[in-house]
Amino acid sequence: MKNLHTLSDYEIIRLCIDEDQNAFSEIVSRYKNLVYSIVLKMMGNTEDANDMAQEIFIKAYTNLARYSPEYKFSTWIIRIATNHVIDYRRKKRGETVPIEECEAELGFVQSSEQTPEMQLVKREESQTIRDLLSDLPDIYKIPIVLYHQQGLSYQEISDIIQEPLSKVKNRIFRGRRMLKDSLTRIGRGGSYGFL
Amino acid sequence: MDSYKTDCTRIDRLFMNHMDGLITAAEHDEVRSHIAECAQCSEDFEVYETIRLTLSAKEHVCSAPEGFEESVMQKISQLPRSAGPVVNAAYLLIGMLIISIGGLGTVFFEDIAGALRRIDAFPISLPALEALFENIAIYLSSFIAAMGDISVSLFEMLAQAQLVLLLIFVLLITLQFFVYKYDKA
Ligand SMILES: [Zn+2]
Repeated sequence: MKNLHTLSDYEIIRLCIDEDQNAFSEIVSRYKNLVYSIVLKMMGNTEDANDMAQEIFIKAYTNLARYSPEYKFSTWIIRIATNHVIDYRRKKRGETVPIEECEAELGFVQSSEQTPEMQLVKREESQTIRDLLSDLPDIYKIPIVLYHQQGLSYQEISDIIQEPLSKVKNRIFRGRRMLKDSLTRIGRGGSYGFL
Repeated sequence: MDSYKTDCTRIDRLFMNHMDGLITAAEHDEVRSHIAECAQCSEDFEVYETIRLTLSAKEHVCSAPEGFEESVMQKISQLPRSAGPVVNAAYLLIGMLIISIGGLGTVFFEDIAGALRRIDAFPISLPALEALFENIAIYLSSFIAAMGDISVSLFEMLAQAQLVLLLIFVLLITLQFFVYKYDKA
């Protein structure tokens, strides 16, 4: 039995295809948090996000033979994830849900050096921003989630959504301006001075 | 008035570069002196900063729920076993070869008259044809499904090669059919 932890993603995928489907659990454990986070940020609700993240891994598994190592595995699976979320939403058009945050993130806000009042204001403000983000159309929301929340590069996002870099950039710029305009409109243009 | 607008558009573009961490010291100074005088851009900048900081504070990843892998692997173990693209491709190729050999032989390696006399014994059996078309259907559906996901892999190239072979095969069958018809007339 090979030690799966020492193998590359692609080596594990070959192993899943050729010998042992159970090797896929190593892939799941490497990418479950990434996929879950992205789905949670796009879906907003933890229960749906869990089901959907599982479906995404099953879809990846059944299409494993089509994975090409010219892309990072994370790029490939995020692409499956975003397509899956878009398909789901197409079927359930019109439903928008506020974006919940996971505990780690709430923990992050609490741990910073702020008074309880500041924390409260900040938390409300960040909830507003997440609500506005969840109201954006998918073509802007997905690149913004991937870029600002997941820290992916323009190039990675371009590989994921299969659009040229220039388009990715335009959508992110446009999405930021839409967020800025709605935030300004509801008068939450913040109490931060940063230059 | 015109130059004012142009300026603000440029500054907005610099805000974007700033959010991407791609702003030079000179551009930074330019932004700073512009927003000192322009209330609109100054407000915009604060809003952009709030957005950027709020979103990037979430950069770290949330944890998937307990038992996630187990649940996924359990569902995978219940998936219907498909033969997989390699096996399907091999099936198709062997099926095509078996079916073609008789036909090819009659067309290319024997005299046409002799071949046509034996054409009633044309070697396609119905079950073989059914099996062949079933495999073609399975393969085509997985090929079409693949188009939705990440593009060219070895298997898709193989699938394309199979389609070409399939076309050649259909052509040969058609050719045999016409030779047969022609001889009867
Ligand atoms: Zn201005």
